Amino acid sequence: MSGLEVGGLRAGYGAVRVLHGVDLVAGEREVVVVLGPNGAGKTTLLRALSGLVAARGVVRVGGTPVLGLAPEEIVRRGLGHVTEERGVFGPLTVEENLRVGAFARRWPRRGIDDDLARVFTYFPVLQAHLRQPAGTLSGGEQGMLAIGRALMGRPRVLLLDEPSRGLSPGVTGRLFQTLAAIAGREGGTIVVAEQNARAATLVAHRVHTLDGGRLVA
Amino acid sequence: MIGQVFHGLGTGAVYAALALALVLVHRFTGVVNFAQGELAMVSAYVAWQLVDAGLSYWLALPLTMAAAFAAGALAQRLVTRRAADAALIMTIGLYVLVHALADQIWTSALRAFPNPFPAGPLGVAGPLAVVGAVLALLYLVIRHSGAGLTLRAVAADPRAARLSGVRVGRVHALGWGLAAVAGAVSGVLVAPVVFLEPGMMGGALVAALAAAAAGGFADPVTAVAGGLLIGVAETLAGTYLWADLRVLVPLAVLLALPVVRGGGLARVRT
Repeated sequence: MSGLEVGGLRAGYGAVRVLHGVDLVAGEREVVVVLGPNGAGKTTLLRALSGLVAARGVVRVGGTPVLGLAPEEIVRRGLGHVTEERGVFGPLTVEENLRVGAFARRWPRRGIDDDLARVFTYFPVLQAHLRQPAGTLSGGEQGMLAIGRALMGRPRVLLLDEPSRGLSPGVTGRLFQTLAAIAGREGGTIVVAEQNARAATLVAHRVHTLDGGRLVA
Repeated sequence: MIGQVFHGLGTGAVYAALALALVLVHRFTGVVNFAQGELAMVSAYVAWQLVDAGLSYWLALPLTMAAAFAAGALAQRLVTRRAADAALIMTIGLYVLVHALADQIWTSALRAFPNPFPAGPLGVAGPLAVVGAVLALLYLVIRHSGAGLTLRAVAADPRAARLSGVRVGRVHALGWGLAAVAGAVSGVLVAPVVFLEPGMMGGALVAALAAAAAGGFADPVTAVAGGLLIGVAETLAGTYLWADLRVLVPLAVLLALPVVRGGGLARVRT
């Protein structure tokens, strides 16, 4: 059974329709990249999947239909979403940020130390700043923290909105290597929306192009 | 003079607890709850009923705090969740509703509330100690519990909290519940001083609003300090200057405190 199935997804803001029927399937251990110019609807697509934007159509996470549920309930059914803004909790410490991520799980406290250790193997820099307020991290570190926080929820499907934003090409390359490793080892599905990151396509199993609210390739 | 200052601190402890309740609700749910004082008033009546039924004051107080927590959480679920955009108006509606209900149930007759503290210095140290203990309790819950972690996450970024699987509605109810506990303490503490009646929290609410506003409804330290300061200034002004001057004190503190602390009314610390 595949990780993420999307069928005929339509969404928009008020009278403005942004997505005109998107079909997308992403399997386990796959990294799928959705490319598209600014305004193509990449962010809207991810928001529709995680319930931040009202949408019609079909969305299944690990076979479970989730469309129409509140974002926190969708997250609890295995869909992690790292937004473009990253949204780290600035006044909270790095460790507290990661612990909040565990609330997406059925048992937030069980196995939390193992999960923290797992996140640190992917992003060692987080361990070095454990007791520091997240707001004091650099932009790149905040991006890693946001991904780490999402991983604490043990998602089946992880959505990433422009993770390369604000990063140097070298750092971006390493980040996508890490994401590929995460998809392989955790057995999950990763969907990345990017404007034109070559690094993303290097590790992708499949690359789609979103334009005018439709997948055109 | 020293005696008057201590007397003022006792009154100020009441304002501080209510101001803290206002800050908690605003910081965790983004609303100024105008019904906070009325919820505290009902808490005072509940405590009075318990003591009247023969319970010891020190048993009635924690029971009242528990009931206030439930009532505060319920009020959030019933009132503001259904009208998030009009939450401020809803709290004014809640104020009117709770006040009218209290009038119906307990009438406007003045009732004496037993004072558990003896007269003299202990009569002031007592309320301060109770407020201090409740502050410490709230601090521990917010700072060092899983539930407190979700509260702080929601305060920092509600959307990111949602996307981390935090059930934000429940967290808002928790914030209102904790605030109601602080409010209940202020109601129970003020009851022996002003007599029990449905309008008893009116003056305290004005003082608490001023103290909370001085910290931009976000800073618990300024709110508590402001509450204590208003209590002392009121007592001194009423004793040494002119009794009617008391009503101006909250306004004066509201204007002066942001200047002293630096920043101003809009200064928000998260």
